[in-house]
Amino acid sequence: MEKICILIIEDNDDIRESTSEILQLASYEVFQASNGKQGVDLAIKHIPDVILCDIMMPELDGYGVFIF
Amino acid sequence: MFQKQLQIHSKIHIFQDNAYVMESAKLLYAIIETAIDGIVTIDNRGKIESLNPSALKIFGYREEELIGKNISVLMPESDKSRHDGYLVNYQSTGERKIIGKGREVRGLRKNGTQFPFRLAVSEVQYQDRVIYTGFIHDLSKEKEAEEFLKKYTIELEELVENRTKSLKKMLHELEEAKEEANVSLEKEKALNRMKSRFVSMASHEFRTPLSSMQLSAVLIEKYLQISDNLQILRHLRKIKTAIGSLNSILNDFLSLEKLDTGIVKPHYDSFDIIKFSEELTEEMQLITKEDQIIIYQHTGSESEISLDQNLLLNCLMNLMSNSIKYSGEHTLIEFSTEINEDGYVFSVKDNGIGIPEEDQSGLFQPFFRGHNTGSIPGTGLGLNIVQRYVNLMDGTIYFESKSGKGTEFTLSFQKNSANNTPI
Repeated sequence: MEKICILIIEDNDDIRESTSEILQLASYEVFQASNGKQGVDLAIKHIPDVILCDIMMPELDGYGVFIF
Repeated sequence: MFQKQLQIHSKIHIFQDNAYVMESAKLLYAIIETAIDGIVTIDNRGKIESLNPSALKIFGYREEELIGKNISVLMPESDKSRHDGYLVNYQSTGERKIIGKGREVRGLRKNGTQFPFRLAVSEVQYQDRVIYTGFIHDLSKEKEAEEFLKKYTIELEELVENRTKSLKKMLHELEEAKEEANVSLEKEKALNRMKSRFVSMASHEFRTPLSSMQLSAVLIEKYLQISDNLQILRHLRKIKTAIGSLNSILNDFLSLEKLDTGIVKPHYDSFDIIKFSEELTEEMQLITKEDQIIIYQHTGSESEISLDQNLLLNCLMNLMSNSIKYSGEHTLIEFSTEINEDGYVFSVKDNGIGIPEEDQSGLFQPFFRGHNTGSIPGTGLGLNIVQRYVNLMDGTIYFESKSGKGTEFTLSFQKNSANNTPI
């Protein structure tokens, strides 16, 4: 069975890394992006099942990502 | 016969005429004696010839006291001397002042009191001489009423004026109160804005390290189960870092509180600015981003300055960490010090995100942050604290900034400020 793929878009390094560690330990496949722009690129590339996205971010904020 | 008859007839007639005249004289006499107005007659030199009872009553004399006296005894001092002049003047020029007209004058009673009356004088050609008749209408009552009315009017006017004054005062007070209310409303508004800035800052700045700590705690639990000590240590370090950042926020609050309560007082001492700045630059270089370089340079032949070392250190660290925080990797931060004739100048310049023009006026307010700071952490207290420290040392803070280009902060202090302030 293929792993469920999750994309985390969050600018705070600690929070993003810890969250993805927790998800990885729970056997999810995790992609990380530190801003909205990267997030959109990764989302197009990998087509994740779930996207966890912060709202207050530099470059492109959460609402901007959602519009994409 | 006819002649006699005629004589008799005419005698009767004369008798009848005489009787008529007598009747008329009696009637006139009665009228004069009972008239309410006083009637006085004088001769052409002003000597009193007759008075009616009313005239005597009005002036308070008995008849024998006045007959033959000059009319001027009935006049107050101010009119006396002029009266004879009037008479002479009239008799020589025919110019009338009172005669035939009547006017308001003052009379002198026997008891020395004065009273107003209306005097009407007429000239009577009687037999071969001229006499003058004066009709005296006492105006005391009318005048009294008039005075009373006048007084009453004045009182009323005073009352109105006082009321107007108190109304004006009340209006003024109301306006003042309105002003005061406006001022406190503005204060309230400013306080509210500060509160909302605080809430938005606190929710972000407190939550981030707290979330980080919580996530790390969850992970430590997981790693404990598989005994992965390396990972556990890594997350313990993260928790420590998060505690550190919470601590520094609280330190900012504490500094602010100390400033507010006036506990912070500058303690001046002399130190070498070059050595001080080089150490600071080295220390700050440790927390720069990748390839961010801090360049330090000093201008001036002297290097000894006198300021509060701690407060200055705090200010410069704050400005430099802002520069680090708000500019990207591969950038230069220029830190310079200068001692010139007037004093000391410190400046920190970066090519960071800059401060948008609309945010520049509010920059030093507590909890205020530029709109372009996004998710860059910060309490909005740093510059507020810097400004207050600089003010404590009688210095000034000044900045120039362009959004997207960079910012330069300049602190300047007068040399003699240390001498004027007791240590």
